[in-house]
Amino acid sequence: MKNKKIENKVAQSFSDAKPDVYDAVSAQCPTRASASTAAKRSSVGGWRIATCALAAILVVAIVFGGVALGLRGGSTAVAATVTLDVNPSISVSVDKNNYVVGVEALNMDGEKIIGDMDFKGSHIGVAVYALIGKMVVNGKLSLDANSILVSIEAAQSDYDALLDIVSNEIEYMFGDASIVSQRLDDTARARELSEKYGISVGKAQLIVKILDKVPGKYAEEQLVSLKINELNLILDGLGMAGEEVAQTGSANDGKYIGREAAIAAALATVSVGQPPANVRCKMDFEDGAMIYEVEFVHGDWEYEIGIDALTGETLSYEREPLTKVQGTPVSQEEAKAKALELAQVPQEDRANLTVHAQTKTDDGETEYEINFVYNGYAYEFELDGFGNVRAASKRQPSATGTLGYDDVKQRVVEEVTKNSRFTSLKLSEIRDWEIELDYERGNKVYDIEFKWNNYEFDCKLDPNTGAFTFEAEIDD
Amino acid sequence: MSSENYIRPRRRELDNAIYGIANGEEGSLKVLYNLSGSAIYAYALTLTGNVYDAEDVMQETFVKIYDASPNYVSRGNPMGWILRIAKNLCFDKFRARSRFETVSDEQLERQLATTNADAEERLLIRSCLDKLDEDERAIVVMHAVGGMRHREIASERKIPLNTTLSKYKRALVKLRKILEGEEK
Repeated sequence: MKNKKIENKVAQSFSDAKPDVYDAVSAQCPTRASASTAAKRSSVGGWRIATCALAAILVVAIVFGGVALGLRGGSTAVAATVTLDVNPSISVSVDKNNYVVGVEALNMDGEKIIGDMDFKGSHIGVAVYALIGKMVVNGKLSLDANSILVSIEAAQSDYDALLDIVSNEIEYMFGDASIVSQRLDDTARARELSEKYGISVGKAQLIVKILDKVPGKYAEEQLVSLKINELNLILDGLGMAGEEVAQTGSANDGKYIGREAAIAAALATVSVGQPPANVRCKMDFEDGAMIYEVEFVHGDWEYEIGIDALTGETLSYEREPLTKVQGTPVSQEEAKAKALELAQVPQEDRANLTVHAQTKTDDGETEYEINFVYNGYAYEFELDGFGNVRAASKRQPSATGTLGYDDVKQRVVEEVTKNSRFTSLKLSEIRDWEIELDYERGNKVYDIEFKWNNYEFDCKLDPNTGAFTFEAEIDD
Repeated sequence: MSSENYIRPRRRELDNAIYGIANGEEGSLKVLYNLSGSAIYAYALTLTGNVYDAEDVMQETFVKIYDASPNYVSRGNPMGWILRIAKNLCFDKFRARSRFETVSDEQLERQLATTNADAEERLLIRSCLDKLDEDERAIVVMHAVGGMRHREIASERKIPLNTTLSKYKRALVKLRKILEGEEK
């Protein structure tokens, strides 16, 4: 008897033996009301508020909170606008007494969050509490990505009080939030950016502030694609939080490898065992990827190493001598050979590789700049006249901070075909790819599923170690 | 024996049903019940060893899921999350009484005879409980009934993947012998 048949028999046996308790379960678990249907209820009778936790509390807050706080239907003049940005972006306009006049979704995620909820006439606190709650329920705000941007367009005299209400409600609903707040003031540039990229004016203003802080460092189109948590991490790295923008709490980097792992990866690049006392680590954004920038002094050199925040891979390497460097001068050809060796280009591939080399002189010292593209990566090296590497970087032009999906697929095929049962598997024959970057015990792994012939594959690829495991089952 | 048409629950369907319950979507509870009821019951039965406790745990598990659903965040292994709830409820029962109401094989057969399971199915269930060790029966239920992958089971039970696979194979060998003995 085949295993599959035994499995089916076991499953069917328990399935047939199970009692029917659905009616009893159903009686204890009434369908939660959406905001619109809950609004029709006249009392909370039958609601299991204590146990229905967040969603029910939200509904109660939306529907009854307005009543408790005095639902208003009169004034519709907008006195201030509060924009909440996480990735969902929602704008709430209020009258002079802070009662909601209108709520507008600024993107599709915002639309999903608002759903059927109608806040008109509710106090701003009720609306914020419910909206943030829904973001938490839907995983938009979590311990791993805990940042929210609050942008308020209001008279200076009203700004503080409004921010106070909004911040309190956010913290009440999600105590782990890091709130970045700003008053929308000189918005001409922000509005232009907002219209150009279809983002909220608040997010646009924050991006303008970052662009102005370090002119030329970032491309606006790349910052626009980031979520507020990533922008908040960049604010931290640039030391802007608390200065140019107000911030409570701090952005979590739980989606990434973490500072400790980044420092370890950076030290491993230079073969340093114990972390030096002077090691510093901050997050930044470079060439479309979130990175940890690790700085430390080791021996006679000061290092600055960029570590891919998702994969732990070393993306850039720079070092400056603390004392004058001496040694035996090397030629440009020798510098090229060293760069190719460092990039681990095999001898047989070197002949056909186009390597660009330039010799420069800076303050009387010779410098070599070597760059080439190999295996889909763009390599850049700077060596001094004595063959010491001063800077090195490895970038995948299409990379977005992770392994490219094409690379993942290629790796999967390489690994799976090592198994004698699947030597004939070909990339072109694979269908229904599903690739997700996941986290297991704090480590990043690619969770990959696909189908080939009548098999269903489930694989894991660790981008840090290259470890690969897979299971293949006959797809019924 | 009933037709062998058991469909293992898929992660995405389970996730969607849990989110649906949280969001007040009509019918989501029923969907989740249909998807996971057998696995919850099977798992509870292997832990408690008697039909009545397993029935209680099954019912309480759905109520717990309902309560917890607003805070549910998918980690890609919804069945693991569900069975963890069931396990905790089993242990709560155990703590409350200091022991499970263990029943003899004969009593269990009598209890199972009141269900829709036919003779062969009842034998298979009793064999899972009697002939397999604790790890083996949990792994069999999680994989065969719950549709969990071996890696997920290894992570859930905090044992190496190879151990999960070898215990599973050993369990199936035992069950095959029982079934083939029965069929001869």
